[in-house]
Amino acid sequence: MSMQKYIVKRIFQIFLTLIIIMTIMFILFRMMPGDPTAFMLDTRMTPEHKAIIRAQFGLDKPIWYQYLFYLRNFFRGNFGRSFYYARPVYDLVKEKLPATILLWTGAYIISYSLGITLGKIIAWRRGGKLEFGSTLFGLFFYCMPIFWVGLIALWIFSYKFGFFPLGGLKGPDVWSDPSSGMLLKAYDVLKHVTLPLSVLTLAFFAGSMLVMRTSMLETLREDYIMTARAKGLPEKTIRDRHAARNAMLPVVTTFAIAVAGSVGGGVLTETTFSYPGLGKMIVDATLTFDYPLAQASFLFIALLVLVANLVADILYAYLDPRIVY
Amino acid sequence: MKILEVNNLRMYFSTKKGDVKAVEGVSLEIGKGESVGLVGESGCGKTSIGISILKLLPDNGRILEGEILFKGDDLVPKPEDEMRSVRWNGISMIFQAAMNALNPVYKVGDQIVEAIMLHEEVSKEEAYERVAQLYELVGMSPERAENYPHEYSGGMKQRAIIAMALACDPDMIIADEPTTALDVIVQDSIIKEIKKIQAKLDMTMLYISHDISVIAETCERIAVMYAGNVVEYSDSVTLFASPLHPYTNGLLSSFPSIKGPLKKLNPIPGEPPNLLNPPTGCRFHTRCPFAQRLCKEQVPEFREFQERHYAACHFAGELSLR
Repeated sequence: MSMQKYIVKRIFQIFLTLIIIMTIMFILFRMMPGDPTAFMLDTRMTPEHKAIIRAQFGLDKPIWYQYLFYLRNFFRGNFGRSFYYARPVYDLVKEKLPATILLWTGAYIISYSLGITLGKIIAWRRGGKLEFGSTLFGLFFYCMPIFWVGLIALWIFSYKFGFFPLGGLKGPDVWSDPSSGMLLKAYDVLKHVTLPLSVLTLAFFAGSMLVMRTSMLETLREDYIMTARAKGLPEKTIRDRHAARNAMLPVVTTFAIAVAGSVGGGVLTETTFSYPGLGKMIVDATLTFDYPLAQASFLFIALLVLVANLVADILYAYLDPRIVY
Repeated sequence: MKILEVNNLRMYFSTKKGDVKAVEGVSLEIGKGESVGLVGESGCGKTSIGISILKLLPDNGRILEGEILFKGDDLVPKPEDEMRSVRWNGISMIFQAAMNALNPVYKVGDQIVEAIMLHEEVSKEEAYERVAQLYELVGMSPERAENYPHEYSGGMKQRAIIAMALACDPDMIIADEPTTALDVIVQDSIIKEIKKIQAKLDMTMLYISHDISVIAETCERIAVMYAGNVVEYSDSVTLFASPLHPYTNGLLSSFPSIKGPLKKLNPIPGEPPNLLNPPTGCRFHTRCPFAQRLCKEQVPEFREFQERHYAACHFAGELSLR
């Protein structure tokens, strides 16, 4: 199958892209001002002591040696030890990755389903109240800084009314109690994830909705829509089967672009809600000059974006029979 | 027996600049098994009549008055849901294939099956069986029903669209410029196909085209349109031999004849009027070589001069045409 060949080719491309990203990251972190040892070392330590610690982390070696070492280790799945937590980075990433995948993919799935459905409806009933309302509502959250919306949401729903916890992902009272069942734990996670997920969804959905609306308006002028009407098909079938299916194609294209652009939103949301994901870890690691941890988190986020792009490409080929890879 | 009778139809499009008077007092009747050609320049309202019959008007189009009797039943006051059962089942349409009349993301066969299953209580297998028969009827291999539209050539798409129009065995077919975008060789084979099917199924057809030579080849009767009016309607032979309306005459002299002696073509001077603000009286008076004061002041009646030969001209029969 040519599709399988295409996927193999794309995975190879992803691999190459990752090497480039890793190189850029390596250079970037070494260019940052400050010294990682300053954070973990006591000022009262002797220079000899400092040197020993630096040697332990390989920071005394020449830069090219560090680079090659860094590449080799990455491909062996050895991401080094976090300077700050003094734990293997691999373990830390493994802990945080599921939380990030839950929040980000959740937000994408909900915001795109919502955006596509709303965009479809408001284009079909053009000029209605719903169009005005949802465009205004969507654009408001699209333009507002995500951390501001997040803080307001926290203030209203968590602080004032106490509907949701103030942050985190797992409530300690539920998770430390051995008698808590799966259902209770799931409910606890849901309660924690609702606010950050809603904020991220609100920030994302307007984009897909407006693209879908425009694309739908264009599709409705196509001749096959006239054919569908002439066949005597009911309105809903024309809208969903004939128009929306075609109108979705540009939305998938913009998805691939939007994923890269929305990483910032994800990082900010995680930070605002003290959400224990990769995004928050990146910020913490950067602030503490935790090179290995920051590099690994960046790399995994880059990998998420690349995988999302691959998914978009495969989805596109599935939706449009004219696309042959 | 009359399949379709249009009486005094008036259809306008509202635009920001005012109403576009696309169809003004059009009357037309089509008997069972007849093929009628509707010919006229671009923008004269041919397609507007076609989509008015099926009530597929865009949001800004509206029928102001008139009747569209389909098998004696007036379609104009019919609500959407009742119109849906008339569409395709009663009257189907052949669209111009080059204009994307097929949905690009579905298999062509499935698009035909969709129409069959909508109007008839048949199983999926029976519907696909019907598609195979239809493909053979239009001269295509039935396996091609499994392909997507982009895998077809222009001529094949047109054949598939004809097959789709025949799918529910309609009482009448409206063909809107079905061969316009095709090259002449494919155009010729499609026209032959249409004529063959027409004879075989005794199909009633309204054939819309700007090309009078295509119409002459396919239709027994011809209606000539000018600026929203049908100006003349008769059988093809009479229309070519002794036209009554000066516009028909002008139209005929603007086409070269292959068989006859070589003559200099006589195109009609001027341009078709803007339908936002059409001329008073006879809409053709601004370009008519025989125009009098009466033509500017009074709208000519669409009268029957000989049996089933109608024309809308104050001086029809008195002028020396052809």
